Amino acid sequence: MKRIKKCPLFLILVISSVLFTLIGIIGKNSIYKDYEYHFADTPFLALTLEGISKGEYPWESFRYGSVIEAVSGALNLPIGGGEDEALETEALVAEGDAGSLFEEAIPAEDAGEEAASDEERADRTYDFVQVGEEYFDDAVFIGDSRTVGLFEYGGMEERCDFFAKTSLTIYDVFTEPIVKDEETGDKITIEAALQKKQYGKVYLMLGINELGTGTTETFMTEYKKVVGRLEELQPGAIIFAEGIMRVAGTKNETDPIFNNMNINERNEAIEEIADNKKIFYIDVNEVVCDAQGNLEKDYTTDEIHLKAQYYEKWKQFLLSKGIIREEK
Amino acid sequence: MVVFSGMEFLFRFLPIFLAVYYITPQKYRNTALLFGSIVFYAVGEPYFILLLLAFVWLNYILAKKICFYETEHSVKNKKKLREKKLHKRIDKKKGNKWMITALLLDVGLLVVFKILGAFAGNEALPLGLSFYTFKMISFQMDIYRRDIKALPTFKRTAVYFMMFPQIISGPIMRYDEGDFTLEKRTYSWERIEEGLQYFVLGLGTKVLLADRLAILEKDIHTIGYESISSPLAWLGAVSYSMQLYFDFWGYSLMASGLCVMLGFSFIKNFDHPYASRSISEFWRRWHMTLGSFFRDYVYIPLGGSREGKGNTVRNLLIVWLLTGLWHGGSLNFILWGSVLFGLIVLEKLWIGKWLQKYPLVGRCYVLVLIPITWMLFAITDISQLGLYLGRMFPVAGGAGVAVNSSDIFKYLKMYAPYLTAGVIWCIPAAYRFVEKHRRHPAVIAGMVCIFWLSVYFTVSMGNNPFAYLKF
Repeated sequence: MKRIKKCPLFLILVISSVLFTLIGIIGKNSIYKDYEYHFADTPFLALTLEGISKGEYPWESFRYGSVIEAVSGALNLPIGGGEDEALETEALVAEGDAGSLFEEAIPAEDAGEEAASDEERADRTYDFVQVGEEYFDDAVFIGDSRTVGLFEYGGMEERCDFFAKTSLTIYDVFTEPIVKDEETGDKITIEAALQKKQYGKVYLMLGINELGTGTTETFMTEYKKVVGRLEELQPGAIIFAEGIMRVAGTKNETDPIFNNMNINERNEAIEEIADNKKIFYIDVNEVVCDAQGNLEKDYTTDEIHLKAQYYEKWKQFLLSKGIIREEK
Repeated sequence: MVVFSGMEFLFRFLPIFLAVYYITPQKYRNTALLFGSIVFYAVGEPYFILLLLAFVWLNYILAKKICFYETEHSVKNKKKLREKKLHKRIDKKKGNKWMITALLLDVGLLVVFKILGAFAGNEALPLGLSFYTFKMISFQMDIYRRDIKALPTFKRTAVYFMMFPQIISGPIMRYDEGDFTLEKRTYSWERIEEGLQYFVLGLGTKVLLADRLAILEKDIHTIGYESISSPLAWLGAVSYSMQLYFDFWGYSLMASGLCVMLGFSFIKNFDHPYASRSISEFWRRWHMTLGSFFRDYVYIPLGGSREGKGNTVRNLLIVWLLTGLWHGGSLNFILWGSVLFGLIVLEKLWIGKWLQKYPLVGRCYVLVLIPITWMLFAITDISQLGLYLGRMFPVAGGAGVAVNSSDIFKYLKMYAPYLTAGVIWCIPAAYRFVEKHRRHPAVIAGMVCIFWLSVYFTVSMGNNPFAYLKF
């Protein structure tokens, strides 16, 4: 008892560390069994804390099976597997920290007026034309931090909607509550927001955060699902599947995952789903990359994001890739 | 492992070391500390540990040559001491010679690697080099000037140079500030508790504040300096000023907390510098062990301020150029040192007294000027530095133009909790309150939360605060 009075903090920290370590050891083969863990690198209690950061709390180790199902169900994911683990980290880690750049999407004033497509229109293919900025009046942009940058520095925020958030991926694009509902002020999912309002154009750029997750095939399965759902939700809209913006040279050479070879592979796969009738592939890399195909190094400081002033290039590129489908 | 906020240090090295240290009989605790420190350093620097050991040994040999007069054992023997003193008069010149050799060696080591580092990048620098060479220089000077009364044993000297709490980033403790004589050290559960409390406060200061604010710096860098609005440039400067302070003060608290846990005295390295009323005062309260190093081993030996205005200014110039160079070899550090020199001379000769008379003016003056000087410190690329200063002072024909003029609101909103907590934590009263009520259960509970929250942040984001910056 005397000792507790002398050094309470010391004892509490020692006891809690031992407790967390035990939970880590017990959970290693149950609730944390999908986590990548190397004893040489980090102590057992890292597992416990990693679990908490993913929403898998220690007490769940006692009723293991049912819980995993519930957690995965809530995230709309298949059960188990390394891939899911990775993307859960991404989705959850980004929440509530200073790193999440942007959480709200700002709605534009007027809704899309484009009517649903006619039967005869459906078969035609279209070519890109130069358009004016009013083209964006009925557009919505969906994407990760790069699209957040376009929102902040592209000077288009008055015209169109941006449903973008740092670290958004193709897997959680419809499940993350990131759009501010105009009526209630609550955060709703992109899916719910797209049910409320019809757009003429949907721009989609996702895929860099997922580079370390799964293969191009698994990525494309999800990508097609998302595009399919977009078509259902927005029957009158033109869908622009944007190629993933590349990274700059140094990053490309040093990063085993976030490099341009991987980006190009996925971009080629994205390009294949374009039918030039309703879904169009556009690749902003045409205007922001150097001769080697890396993101121009003067356009970026972190090798990944454009510097504020160069979002203009992206916008001008989008304006050069307009699709106009005559109404009659 | 060499990062105090890392999992390996917190949950592996530290508990094992503490257990071993306290199980070891008091008599052998210096040995335990020495071996622990060698392991600690060798994990971080498997090759440069040899360089460090070689220099510890060399410095001891030289110290022995300088310190010809008495050793710890001979002090006890008065008769012998008298003989030695007689001996001293004869060998004074020899002592000088060895002193200069030691200085050339230690300064040379620092300079050679700094130059190498300037070309090959900072990876070429041995861990903690700037700090342990300064300890060595201070040791030799103190031996020479007989501030250290008797030559310590080799083991104590080696522990002083290499003790793991201070090897990476200081504080640059003096030999006689450390209780290397085992009898002087006090061990108790209360000391362990006290040290741990400092450690936890330091950990929270670094992980929960400095590392969070570092992301704002990174965000601004990503936007590109030429495109930020002037208010954001100022916010960035203020935020960086806090980030740097919390990073280093947090580290110093952790280091000194560890020392206290081992039975040593607490070494103060920061004394709430942002509450200063002049730049000179700021620098007496910021990185205090570095400041007093330059004061005692450069400024005062050069004559200090006792030999007329001209010499005072010259001595200050030397000190501030050296301070700049010690922090880094690039042009911006020299610029930074020169600006501080200018300000301090200005205070010393003209406005200092006036600033002390009007404390409010003095405080505002410090809070406006220091962030500007920190930008000189932070941005090593001169053209980028020009851009940033241009955004801070757009009237002065600054380059660039804000792409989004209301960007400040977004970042203010995003970083509000960290900035608010940071401002509060800069106020001396806030820290003193915690210190005063440190035995209160609520404060203890708060520290438990700070500790686990910091560890949680470290785990979920990795040791590198930027690792979790998703795209």
